[in-house]
Amino acid sequence: MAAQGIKKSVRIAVIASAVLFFAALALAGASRPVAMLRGWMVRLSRPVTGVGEYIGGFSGAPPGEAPEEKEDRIRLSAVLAETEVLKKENESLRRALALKEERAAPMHAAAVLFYSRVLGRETLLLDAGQDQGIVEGDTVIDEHGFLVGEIAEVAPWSSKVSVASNEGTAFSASLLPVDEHILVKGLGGRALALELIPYDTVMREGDVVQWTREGRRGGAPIFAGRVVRGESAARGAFKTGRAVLLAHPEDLKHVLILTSP
Amino acid sequence: MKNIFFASTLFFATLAAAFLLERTLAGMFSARVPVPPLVLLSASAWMPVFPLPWRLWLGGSAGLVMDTFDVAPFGTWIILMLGAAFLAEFLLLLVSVRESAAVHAGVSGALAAAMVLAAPMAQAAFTYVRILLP
Repeated sequence: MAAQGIKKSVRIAVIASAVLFFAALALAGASRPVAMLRGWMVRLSRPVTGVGEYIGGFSGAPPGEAPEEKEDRIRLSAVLAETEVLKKENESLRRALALKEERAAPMHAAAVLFYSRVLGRETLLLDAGQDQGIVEGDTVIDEHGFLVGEIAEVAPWSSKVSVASNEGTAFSASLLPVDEHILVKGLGGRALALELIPYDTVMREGDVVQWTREGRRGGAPIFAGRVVRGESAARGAFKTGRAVLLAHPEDLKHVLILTSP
Repeated sequence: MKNIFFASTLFFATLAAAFLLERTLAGMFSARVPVPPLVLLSASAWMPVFPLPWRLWLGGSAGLVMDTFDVAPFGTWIILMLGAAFLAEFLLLLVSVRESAAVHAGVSGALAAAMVLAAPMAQAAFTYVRILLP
């Protein structure tokens, strides 16, 4: 009986210690010891993730598109989108007859340690965190100036990026070339829902969605998506549309993080 | 299981294999093809095998792996896996034949479904708690 009592006490102690330990771990996720543990887990998983990416790389691009064609298509999208913005800016400068100094936004480059896509949500794990001045909500772009997403969680030496097209994300944007302010929501699978578009706005396939920065002035434009479904039936004062994210998070090796001033 | 340490080793080996398969599938298919949560499914499959104390430690470890690599706030999957360990105990108490393969499969499936359904709520609750904490 005594032995059974001791065994039961040990069992309860092990259960309680497990619950307390993991609860403390969960609540102290941003602390340095836990950040070190997470950093070591990422390092230890690199061989596994490397093998996975190596095997996955053999599947290559979708049928009919070579990697070089994909890169050309991305570069062409960037050039086309930038042309629209340059035209708009040129007209503005001519009207005002004054030069605006383009203030570069402070930004930090980070390496992508890990790309994940589970249950329809895409995540990037970066090797920069609080120690580099990164905070939750900072915007992340790729080398082409395309919007990737925003910092969802930050630890001392790493941060997680929630891709802009993940379900549940939303941000304000401008529809180019008409320069109409709209609301963009993520639908998952790189799809974006365009909402609050005035009913009389002309929207065509191929139009560009430019991410708008609240409280920021100047800086290079950041493009979020390309309209894939143009005009849709208007209900009331607004109509909706669909766009696809321009960035390709699965191919990224480095990103740029727009840090808060 | 005669040797629980051997079973724990198999648990972590299965988790590593599921992790590798998830990365491979994510790299192979386009963003429009969903990748199933294989780490979660493999952890759920092993849960009914272990007694509660072992289930908590192993489930918490699996939750730590998922939290490190998932977009959900850190701690979401750890708490969910602890809840799943207790849920498994509750489900096993309801059945009289614990060693049946059908019971094992049923409990595993119920755990996986429960965690997938509870994940968005846990994520929202955890985000709220983290806002309240200093």
